[in-house]
Amino acid sequence: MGAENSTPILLEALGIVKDFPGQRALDHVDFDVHKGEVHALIGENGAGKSTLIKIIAGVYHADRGEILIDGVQQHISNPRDSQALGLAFIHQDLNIVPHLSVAENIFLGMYPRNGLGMVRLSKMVEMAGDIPDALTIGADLRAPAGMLSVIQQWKMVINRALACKSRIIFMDEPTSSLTHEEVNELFRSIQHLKASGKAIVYVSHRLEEVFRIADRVTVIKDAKKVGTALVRQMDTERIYRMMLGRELKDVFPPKDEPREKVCLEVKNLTRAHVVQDISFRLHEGEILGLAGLVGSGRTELARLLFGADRKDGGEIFMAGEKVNIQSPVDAIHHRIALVPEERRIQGLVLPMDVKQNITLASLGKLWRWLRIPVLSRHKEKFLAQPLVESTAIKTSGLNQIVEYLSGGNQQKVVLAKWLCSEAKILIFDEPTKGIDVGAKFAFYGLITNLARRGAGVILISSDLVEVVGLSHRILVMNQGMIKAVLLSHETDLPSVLRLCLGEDQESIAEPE
Amino acid sequence: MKWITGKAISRSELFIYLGRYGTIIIFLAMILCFSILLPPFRSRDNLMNLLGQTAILSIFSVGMTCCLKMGDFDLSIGAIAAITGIVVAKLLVNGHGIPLSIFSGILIGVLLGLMNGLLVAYAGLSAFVCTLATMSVILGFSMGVTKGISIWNLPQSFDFIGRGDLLRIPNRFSIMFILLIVVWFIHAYTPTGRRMEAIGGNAISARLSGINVEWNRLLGYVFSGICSAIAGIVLTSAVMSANPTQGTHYLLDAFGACFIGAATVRIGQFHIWGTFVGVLIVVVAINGLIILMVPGYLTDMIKGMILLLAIVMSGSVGKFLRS
Repeated sequence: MGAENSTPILLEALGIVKDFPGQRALDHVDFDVHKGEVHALIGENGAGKSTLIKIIAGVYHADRGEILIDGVQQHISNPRDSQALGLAFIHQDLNIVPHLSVAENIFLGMYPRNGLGMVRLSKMVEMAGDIPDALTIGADLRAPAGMLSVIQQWKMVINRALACKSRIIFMDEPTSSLTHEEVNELFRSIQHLKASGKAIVYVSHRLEEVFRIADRVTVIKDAKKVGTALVRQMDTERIYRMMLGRELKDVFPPKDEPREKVCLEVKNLTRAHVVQDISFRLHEGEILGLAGLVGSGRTELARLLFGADRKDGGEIFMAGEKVNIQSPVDAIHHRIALVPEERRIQGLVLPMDVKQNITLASLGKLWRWLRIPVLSRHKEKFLAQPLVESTAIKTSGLNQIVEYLSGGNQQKVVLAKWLCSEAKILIFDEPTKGIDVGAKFAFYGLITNLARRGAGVILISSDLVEVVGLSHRILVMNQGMIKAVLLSHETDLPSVLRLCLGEDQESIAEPE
Repeated sequence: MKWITGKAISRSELFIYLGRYGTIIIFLAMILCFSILLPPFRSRDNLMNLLGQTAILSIFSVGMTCCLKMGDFDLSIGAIAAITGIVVAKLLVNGHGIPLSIFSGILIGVLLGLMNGLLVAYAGLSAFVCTLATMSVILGFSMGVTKGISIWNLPQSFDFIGRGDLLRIPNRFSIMFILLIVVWFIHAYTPTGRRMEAIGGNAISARLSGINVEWNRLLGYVFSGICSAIAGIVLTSAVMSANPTQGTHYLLDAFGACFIGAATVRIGQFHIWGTFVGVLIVVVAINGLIILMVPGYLTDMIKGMILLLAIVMSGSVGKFLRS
């Protein structure tokens, strides 16, 4: 199987150039897709992956370059053109109409009509069964699409693509909302599509998935194509080097050994249906990675530790003493901080300015006179200014409204808020999600420095490279439980991924 | 080519400037037009009348701003004012002292605000439906207590609040001013005010930053209750009688004032001085319409349209201006 050079080329994009005001989004990028292959398109946020896909889809127009389908040059000026040429694009939020039936969703926009121009559901259900190479959705075709699980919705949308006689299916970050079973199921579906001669373009920034599913990989970095290669001839290190343009060891700063003292101990922490029986210890100066897929309970565990949700059972000890954390107020009192997953929704008050956001969790420090609760503007500046400098927030000033800062700088403001509250234990939930590469590296440095100064850090990330690269130890979570504890210098990406996907640890050496 | 872009920039700047200060310009324009065109408008009596109206509506609106600032709102303000007026009047008529009566009235406001706050912030009911319901309950209750009849014959000395003055400044105007200053100070200079602003900006982030969201929302409702009670007392004192629906029509005006406020200077945010500008606009507009002898139904329609316009200005236009 796979993509040898002898298989016919379905799509070729040659020398694509696209300029956006002030920056070049694509710089002479070539890209080709062979029949029956899974072609991974990877790169950091903002590297140009989605721009390329949007040009092929006809959403954007290339400033230069040409697109050939079956060797014939085509002008794709809108999404309708690309659909007619047999290209299908599945975005991660799937574009389903939840209250319409599955069959209606499959034939959305191309309903069969009878002589009176009326749409017949029964006819559609019948037709849905006749789609060549269709996937088995495993649900009633008359049921509303909103009732389906995410993977069933994925299969439904893939069937929609097949009903349009698509030959190349583009999938954008397909696994970002899937649980581990669903990821496996999706991969089986992709194998099925491949076997029936379709080509799949798999857009992702998750390297480990590329190795599981793709035949070839094209890496894009800073609007340029770094290269295309057969996956079986590559290894993680090399692809990562292509993506980031530097060695892994230069990306992740060296870290000190954690200290002896345990700063947080969790015993049998449980919340019904979410996390079960979680026990672990966090040392001062340690970065503890939490790996796992969506639904594995990582974020939920973080919220329990921070008091954002109520626990059903279990105990938390800090410096040997049992603490009772019922709410974020308690957690902050015990110097625990949470840098949440959705910084705009959970971390920042967007209409407020930089200094107000930084001091938000430490308003008690701003009292003007002893015991009289009046805010001191002077103390506010005095507290916020050094933090803006130490976290290197690029802002026009302390009075800058945070809504208009870039993602990376916003995330630094959230971190500065917790530094202001003198947090000793920091929980980072997907800290580098959606921020550009430069800010990402800066954030790695900040996290490593925090640990070096004795803070205990819990790091949740879907980017396994990040988890393995930054952490001292890794807890792998699966279905709300801790599946394994790994020492990061004794493990590698593929074994962490296997554990995340729910495979057993047998084949992997048990660390102490 | 260059001069075109230059002009475009200055035009958009002008637009933003007009957007932010538009309400103040409208207010000044109204004053100017009415003063020139309507002789009765600039009479001394009418001026005092305007000040009185401004005072009562401001007191209501200050409380409402505290709720709106946190994304809550309180439809029961008029009802709370009505029941307060009745309780105070009943106590006075039954021979109780003025301090006790006023204290009881304010206590009523606190308790009803507490009830709203507990239901909305702690029990998690929708602010709209919940305060709509409490409004109906309170109004029904006050109707029952009075059997629909106004209470007269309040002791003459009670009129110092609504009609009296100190150093020629009407007392109700002083009360309004003190409330405005106090609330402005709380919002601008205290941790509580900062917390309330954070909750209004993003309640989820506020909670995850260690702010007790429920407690602060409860405080907002209690404050709104207190302001409504004060407004009810001032109103009762001004007209020297109390009836079971007295003050209820201020609800719409207060909304209008607050939303005009949210379309002033800091677009899309409720703030105390904006609300004050809103009060002035509403009061002057209504006064002008009355002098023009516009029929009541038309006044209501115009008030509704002002409210709609203010909501549009503070919302979508605000978003455009900020972008």
